[in-house]
Amino acid sequence: MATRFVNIENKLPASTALYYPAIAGGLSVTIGHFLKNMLYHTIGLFGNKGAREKASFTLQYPEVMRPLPRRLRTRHRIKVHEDGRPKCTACMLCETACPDFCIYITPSEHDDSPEEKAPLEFQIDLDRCCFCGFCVEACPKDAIHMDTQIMETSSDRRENMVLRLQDLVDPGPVVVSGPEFAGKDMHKVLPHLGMRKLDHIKPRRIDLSYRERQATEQGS
Amino acid sequence: MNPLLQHSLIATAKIGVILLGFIMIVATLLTWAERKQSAVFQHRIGANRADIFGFRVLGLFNIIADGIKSFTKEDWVPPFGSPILHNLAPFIGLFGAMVSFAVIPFGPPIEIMGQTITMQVVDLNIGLLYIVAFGSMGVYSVVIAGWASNNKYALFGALRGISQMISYEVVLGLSLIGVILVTGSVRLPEIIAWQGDYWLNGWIPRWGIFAQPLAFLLFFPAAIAETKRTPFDVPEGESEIIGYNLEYSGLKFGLFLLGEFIEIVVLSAFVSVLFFGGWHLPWLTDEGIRMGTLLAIDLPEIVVWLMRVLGFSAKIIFFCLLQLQIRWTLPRFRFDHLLRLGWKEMMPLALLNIFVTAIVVYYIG
Ligand code: SF4
Ligand code: SF4
Repeated sequence: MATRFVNIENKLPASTALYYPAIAGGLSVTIGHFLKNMLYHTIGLFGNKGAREKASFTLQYPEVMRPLPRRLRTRHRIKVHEDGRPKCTACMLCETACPDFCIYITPSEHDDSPEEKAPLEFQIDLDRCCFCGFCVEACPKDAIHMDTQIMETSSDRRENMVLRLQDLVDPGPVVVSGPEFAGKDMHKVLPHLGMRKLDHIKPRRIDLSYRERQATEQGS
Repeated sequence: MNPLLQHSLIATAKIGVILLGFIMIVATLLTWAERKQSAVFQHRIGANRADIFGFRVLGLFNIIADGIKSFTKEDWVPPFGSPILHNLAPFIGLFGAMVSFAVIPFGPPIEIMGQTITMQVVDLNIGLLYIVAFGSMGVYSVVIAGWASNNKYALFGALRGISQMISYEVVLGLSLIGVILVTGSVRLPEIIAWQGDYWLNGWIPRWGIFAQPLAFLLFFPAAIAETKRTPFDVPEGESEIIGYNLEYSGLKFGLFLLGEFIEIVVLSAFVSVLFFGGWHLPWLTDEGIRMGTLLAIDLPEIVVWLMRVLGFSAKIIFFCLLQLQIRWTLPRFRFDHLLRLGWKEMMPLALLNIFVTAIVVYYIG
């Protein structure tokens, strides 16, 4: 195939071809926005909230939280019966479904429980979790949910990223965020929702031998 | 006092106040202003997280945080490159930018204790050429940085940088010739003195922008191209393409950035000197305010002097902010467009400007 050369003539209007009129137009737009917003900022300095909101559309995130979508997949929780027993029956289905091998369940028999089986320990390693939600779908008991609306799960220690049964049960029934929380101070809303920050959870030891065994078993 | 000692004391004081005081403070504040200014017109708040005891002061502490961050970061020298040149490159750029400030006159000479003190560090009779010469030191910084990194992306960035800067240096130099022809001098105080005059019975100040409008329109973009900022930021291309400073980290990377901001200050001062009357303010003469025959207010000498120094600083800051605004307004040039603009569109215009100016100066001035 022969190479064809096509001459494309870019016929620009004179105002663009001369650059300066176009540059002046662009600058007038940005400078106009600048002056307008500066005016709003200055009015906002005197405590006018409406002016401050006009000056910038952004939410100051750590202090102010944007309302999250109801169906957003956030930190896990395990639902409980009315008497406080976890609904989980340690069937291991979520552990099997998890693509990242980050759920480690220690099942045990339970004479008191009508389900006969219950988790002695239930760990989710959020470091590995990809928030895919497969565990939620796999659960036959509808015991595990990802609706705590907690997203700030970062920590500077690996151990702190592992949720235990206690942490999973603890958030309790959670009020999902809605428009009523728009623009509210996050730290004021959190206790109201019965949530805690993950950083307050005590460091734990991870049972590495268990994790490795798990990975080899599932990998083979 | 020993005159030599006195002389050197004055020179040191001037270097301290003008070079370290004025430029460094303005350049550091520009790093803050750039973020805040862009934030304001993009309907954002901008950097405001750094605080000391809960005080944020409009995010000014972010400057300190940035400084500490770049000081404490690892200074990595690529083992596959040339360590000596690699270490040298950022300093060449910074040196060239800072040293060119020495000839900028900040105000008219002032008499203190029977001694006339010029408001510039040195009064070179080739001041204009000196600034252009040291301004082009930036090319060496770029090419050495790219070469010493021994990294092909850095080298490509450096090649783009050289071709851009050399092309625009031609336009820069040619556009300045018009100014030299009109003012008849390359000594900056004389250029400023020439602009102190008026046209139309003292109504229009005889500033370079009115005498040489085309030269200004060519000089300003060419000078922005020399500072390597958007719309001419192809050598660096911070946002996506990788530039000559790829293998730099920590403080040396910061020096490139600081050098860029100092270049902005120098360029603003240079533009004010050449085209906006230097420390002359319109209708402010040595005796006071004179507006044609309408207005005559006499002012004491020291007030006039202060107004002129502050006016010059205000001009510098205005042009700094204008450059920041341009950087956040315009998109980047494609590289072939950039070179075509330089060689095929701006250079003929610069030559035309010289031609016309020469004829006019020969027959009229
Ligand atoms: S969300 Fe996905 S990755 Fe995370 S624990 Fe559940 S199944 Fe595993
Ligand atoms: S799938 Fe549900 S019931 Fe089964 S172990 Fe997981 S959380 Fe428990």
